[in-house]
Amino acid sequence: MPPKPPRDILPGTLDLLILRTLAAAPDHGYGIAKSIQRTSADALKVEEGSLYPALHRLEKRGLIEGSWQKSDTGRRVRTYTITKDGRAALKQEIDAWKSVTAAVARVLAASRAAIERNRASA
Amino acid sequence: MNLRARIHAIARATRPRSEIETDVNDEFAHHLEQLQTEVSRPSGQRTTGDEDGTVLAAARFGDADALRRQCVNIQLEDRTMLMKLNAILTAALLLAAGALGWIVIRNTTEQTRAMNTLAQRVGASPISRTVTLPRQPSSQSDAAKTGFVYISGNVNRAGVYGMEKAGMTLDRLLVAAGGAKPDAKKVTVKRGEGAKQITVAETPLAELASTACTTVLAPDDLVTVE
Repeated sequence: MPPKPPRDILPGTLDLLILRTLAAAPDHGYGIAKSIQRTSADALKVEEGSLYPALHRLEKRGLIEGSWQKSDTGRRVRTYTITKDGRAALKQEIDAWKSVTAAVARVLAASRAAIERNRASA
Repeated sequence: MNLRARIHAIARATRPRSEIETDVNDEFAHHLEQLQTEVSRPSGQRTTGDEDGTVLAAARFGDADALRRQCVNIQLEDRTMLMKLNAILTAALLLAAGALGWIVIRNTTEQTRAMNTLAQRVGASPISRTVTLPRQPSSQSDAAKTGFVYISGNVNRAGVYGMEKAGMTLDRLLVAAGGAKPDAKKVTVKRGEGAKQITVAETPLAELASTACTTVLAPDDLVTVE
């Protein structure tokens, strides 16, 4: 069975995924995108068109901090590090995400129970 | 956003636009280089198709120009805000300067007019430029409301003086004018102009110094110390 193509990131979750990735270690844009794809076992794919505006906005909000380094080939590399404020925001984002997914799970479970009741009555 | 992040964001935004564009270009160039390396690996290690690395990487990156503009604009958002703030502050400063200039010109005009009146009354040429009064009243607006008096002759600072709001007596005017000179003998107060001019007081200085002064001056009074 061929592997499923990676899904695009759900709206509103990109900041959470970037912060979570940088909480593990500082990284550049390409590394962040690959890390998310790899960690999700190729289930999630970050588009460059979404990644860089998100990185720049997070940096502007002070949640991450960029610095320039040199690559092995001598090219300038912009590496991002999560800040103290970023870690606090990450905790809030994770709590919010857990709350949403738990609520969705409850709705799905209730719907399944209703379907089974309808089947039984029919 | 905390203050430190705000200051950093503003500092970044105030850099030259070309510098910000160079940073964004370098960041994208590194990403494209990594993508090219990834898609150019031997086929067994590729994670994507078989196309030429550069073309495929560029295709995956999408509309780089639009993305570059978007990222530069994010950096410049604070500069736009600063430029608006700068324009507002400049306009406020210009308004304040204009208002101050208008007040100064208005007061100077009043003073010049008063000096010209005095000059005409004492037979001198009218002055056409701003003059500095020997002593200004404590409040220009009060002087403007109650008028001026003129003192000349054997006093230390002859000139035009603004009337005090509560009324000015002759002895207070003499004090304001720096006092009479040693050879001064009497002081005369004249009111009105031309044929209608009358002498309202003619007092020996010795008498003025020894008794309470009851001569209250009126606007445009001409005081002469001889």
